Amino acid sequence: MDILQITILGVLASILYILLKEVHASIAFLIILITGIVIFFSIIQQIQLIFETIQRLGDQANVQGLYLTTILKIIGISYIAEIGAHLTKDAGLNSVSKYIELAGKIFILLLAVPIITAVIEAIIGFIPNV
Amino acid sequence: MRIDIFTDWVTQIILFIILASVIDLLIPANHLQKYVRLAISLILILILLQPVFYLFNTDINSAISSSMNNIESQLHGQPSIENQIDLEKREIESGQDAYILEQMAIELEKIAADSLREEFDAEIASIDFQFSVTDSVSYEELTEVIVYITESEPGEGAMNTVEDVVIEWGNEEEEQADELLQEIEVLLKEIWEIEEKEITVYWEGEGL
Repeated sequence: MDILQITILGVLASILYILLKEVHASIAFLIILITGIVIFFSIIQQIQLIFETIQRLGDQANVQGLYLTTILKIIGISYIAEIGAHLTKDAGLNSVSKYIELAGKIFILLLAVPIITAVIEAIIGFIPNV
Repeated sequence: MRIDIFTDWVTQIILFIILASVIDLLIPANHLQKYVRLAISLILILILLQPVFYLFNTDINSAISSSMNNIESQLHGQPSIENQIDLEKREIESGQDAYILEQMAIELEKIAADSLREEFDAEIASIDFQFSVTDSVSYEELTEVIVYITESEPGEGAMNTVEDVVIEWGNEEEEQADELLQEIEVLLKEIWEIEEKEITVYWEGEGL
């Protein structure tokens, strides 16, 4: 989907939202939800292209596949957490959006844990046993 | 050699920094950003430390994958001790099975060696066993015995017989070889007394 189409979709959705807000609040929120999901899925295909490029570049640079998959997973988690957090924030559930962000943080750290342990173990391994 | 490693290292760092800047642009700008940055910088540290690992002979890949496995087994909620015990048990069992098979192969080779040498001037290079159920070593499940044979080398004092030089068409030669293999199969079946199982004989190096 083009950037033009996405923008028009967004503008149309916001106009509809303003019109419907007074009459039917729940349907207005449904419009936001659907718009968000449509835009997200149209973007995902483009992101796939970028991810493939990153993977190819990483392979060329001899960066280990483990690191690259970790990074890509982290990016995916941050995107999904962001979208969920924004949607819930739009629905007026600020606390739920905070929880989603918290979950995102924790999952990112969880993915980083093996790397952290590897660094720490390596550093401990350098220290000679006296 | 040394300079190769060095150039590899430097290219890796440069390309990774470029990649990291692209990724930095990709991630959504909220407070998740710092966590992503932390992870990326940790990976950069690992790449920077690579020559040191090389010096200290640390296998960083195995270290990372082992800790990855640990995390995954914890994530799936199974008690990891049970998992480990199970894994070790399976390892020991498979080791025992492999040992039994090896011993069996040696015994079979010993039994058949003399008559093979007398009749066909050949000896067994190796024996493979195929079972209908994997992970199980029993006579009932044995489906096929694959025997690789080589021409036996004459021992000390043995006469080197000059082979007849016969020029033939390739086809006939192949047929002859097939017949020979079949004869060996029959002989082995008789010697090992396993008439109801399949025995396949190959020349060493021919493969399947």
